Amino acid sequence: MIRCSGSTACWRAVLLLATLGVAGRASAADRPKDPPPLSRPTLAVEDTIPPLVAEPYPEILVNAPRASLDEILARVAAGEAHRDSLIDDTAFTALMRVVGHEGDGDKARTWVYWDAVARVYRKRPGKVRVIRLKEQAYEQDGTLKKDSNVNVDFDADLSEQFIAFAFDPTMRDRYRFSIDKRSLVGEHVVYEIAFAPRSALDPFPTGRVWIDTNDFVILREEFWYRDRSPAPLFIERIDNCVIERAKIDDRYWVLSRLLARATFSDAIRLIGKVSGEKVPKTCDLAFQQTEWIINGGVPDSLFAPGKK
Amino acid sequence: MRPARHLGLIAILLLSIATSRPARADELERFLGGMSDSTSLWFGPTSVTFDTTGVDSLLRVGGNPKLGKRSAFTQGLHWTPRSGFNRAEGHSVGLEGRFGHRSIGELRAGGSYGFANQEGRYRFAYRRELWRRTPVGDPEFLKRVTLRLAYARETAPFAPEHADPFSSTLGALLTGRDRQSVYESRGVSGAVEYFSVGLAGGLGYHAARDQSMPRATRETLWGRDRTVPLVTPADEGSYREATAFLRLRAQGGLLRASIDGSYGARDRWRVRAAAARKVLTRLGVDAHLEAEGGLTAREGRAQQRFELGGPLAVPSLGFGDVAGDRLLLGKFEVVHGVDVLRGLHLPHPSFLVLHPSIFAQGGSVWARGEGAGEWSAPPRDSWRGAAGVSLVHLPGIPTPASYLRLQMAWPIGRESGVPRFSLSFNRWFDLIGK
Repeated sequence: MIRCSGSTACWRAVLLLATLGVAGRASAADRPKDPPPLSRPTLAVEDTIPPLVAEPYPEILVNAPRASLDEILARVAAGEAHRDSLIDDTAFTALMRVVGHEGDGDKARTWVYWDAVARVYRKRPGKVRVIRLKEQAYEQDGTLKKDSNVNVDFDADLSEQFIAFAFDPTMRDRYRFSIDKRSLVGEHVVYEIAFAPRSALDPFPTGRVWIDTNDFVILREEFWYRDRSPAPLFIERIDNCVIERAKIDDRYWVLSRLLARATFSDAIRLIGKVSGEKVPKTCDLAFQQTEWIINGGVPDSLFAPGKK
Repeated sequence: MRPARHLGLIAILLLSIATSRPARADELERFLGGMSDSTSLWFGPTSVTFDTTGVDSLLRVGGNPKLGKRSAFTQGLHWTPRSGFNRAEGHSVGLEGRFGHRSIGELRAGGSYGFANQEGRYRFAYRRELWRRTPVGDPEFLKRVTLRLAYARETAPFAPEHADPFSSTLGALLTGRDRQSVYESRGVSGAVEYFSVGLAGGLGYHAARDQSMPRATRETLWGRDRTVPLVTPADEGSYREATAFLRLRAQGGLLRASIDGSYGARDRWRVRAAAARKVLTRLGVDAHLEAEGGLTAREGRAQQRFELGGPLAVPSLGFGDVAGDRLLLGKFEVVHGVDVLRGLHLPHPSFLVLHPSIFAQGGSVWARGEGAGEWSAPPRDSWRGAAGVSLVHLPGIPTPASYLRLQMAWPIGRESGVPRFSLSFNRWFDLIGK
């Protein structure tokens, strides 16, 4: 029994428990005598809400089938496509950095290999304008390099379909998926879904994504090539690649940050040595998109040639 | 109810509304932020901190004047060296340039020179996208229509679907025994092609003049070799033909099929179909099955015949060992994803990952019988077969599906060749789309 001091929060808790109690008694009366056969969809067991009171909630049998993994995967593909459709024009500042790592332990060294900042404008259909603000390459000792060997370009594609590469309906047969975890975060149910290529010979990564089931958009993605490489002549492994999204204007989920760490093969380091370009053993690629303006009405005149 | 109680209830209601907390919209943000902080810690401060000093000022003036404008011309220009060796040209060296820009399409121009026959080869090609549909708001796929035009004087192989230039070059250079025959083709071609993820097709036109290329050198890497074989002479002449192809792709590329054909006249036509299936198992083993069939005109050009032989079609036979105007071929292979060298604890460079495979291939080429219709069953004695083992390396270039294969094949049945070792550079589903 709960003793209520008369505070509003307490009254609301009582009302909530009363509702659940009534529902529990009602469902208990309707509960079938025999358990459902194993061939039916899994019945839900609440395991995400932390216990608010000492006594546990009674189990509530739900006859509606739980969304299958296939349905979730299809909804993610649709959710990502819907997300793309909401955006007509964007402006953002792109911050890019390549960082080299050499050595281990006490002899470990880290240096900035290349640094760049650009302001990017995109508009449907097919318009893009990149204003380069900063670009600099560095030697290992921190001195400035005259020329950089890194060239980054932005296309006019407003979609971020590359993030949902594993959920592309045409690629689903090439992956194994599993739901690793479900979390209740505020009013959001977040699924953590793991994926791995079905064939050891396919050049696809292993990874996991976090999905907000309110709109079935990917919030965060991690993938890696730790036991295989997509291009073993050049890259020995990719320890981790993390893609993070942020919500802009409380409506649009967009790429906010991409971080990747790759270890280069001995072959490419040797080629670099011969050509006079010191290739670090391990390299981080950092890419951040900030100061977003979405559907702000980028004028067509901005994309005219020669326009400042 | 007394007014005081009314007032009390109203007060409680207003208090409930005033003190009720809205849904905590920042909980998701904090959830993601926690993971983001862990990520920043893992990568380290150097990788996650950016220097944006002065960036706002530069944006106000329209960019950094020191950076200058990148030339669209130099950005879109790429060069690729070309080289090869065969007994009809000797060593050939060349270069191909490619320039692409959104507004004009893609231009390619390349040339090479054969030091033995002292002839040049060139190719000028143009590709432009005529139409593109990028679906928005729908999980559909990109569709596009492309125009291709080319004018070339080039060296082309007999039975191009089974040709392996890498293997031929190595065989000619190292042993002098390679028997891949080639011919010169000079002409124009054009096609309009449709592409989407599951379906691709095209219609085209080709007009050219074919000429034989006789043996021009007996040289190998080790010196002059008297046993270097002759080049099968091509049927010379000019021709014009319509071409068409259709390619299907399903189940994420696990199932593919293609059909391509050309028609110039009643005695000048060719049709070829191929299908391939990849089966993924839980044992870390992939199985590949491919089947191919073809028909061509009975009195057609020699260079358009179907052939068996070479690493892609019954590898215990040499290139051009058997030929005919009808073809049937089946291939089966099982590849394991294990790294052989690591499994055997042999020291090796990290990039050298070798996967073991076993394979079996069998096929038949035969001539259409006198008085029979277009299709006649292959004679029993026309079947050839081979089985063997190979080591496969996936370098990741030029495509993720490309492989370097070292294989040893043994003949199965009569007249199926000899035990043969070969090195080939090709891709999975090598019979599709050639």
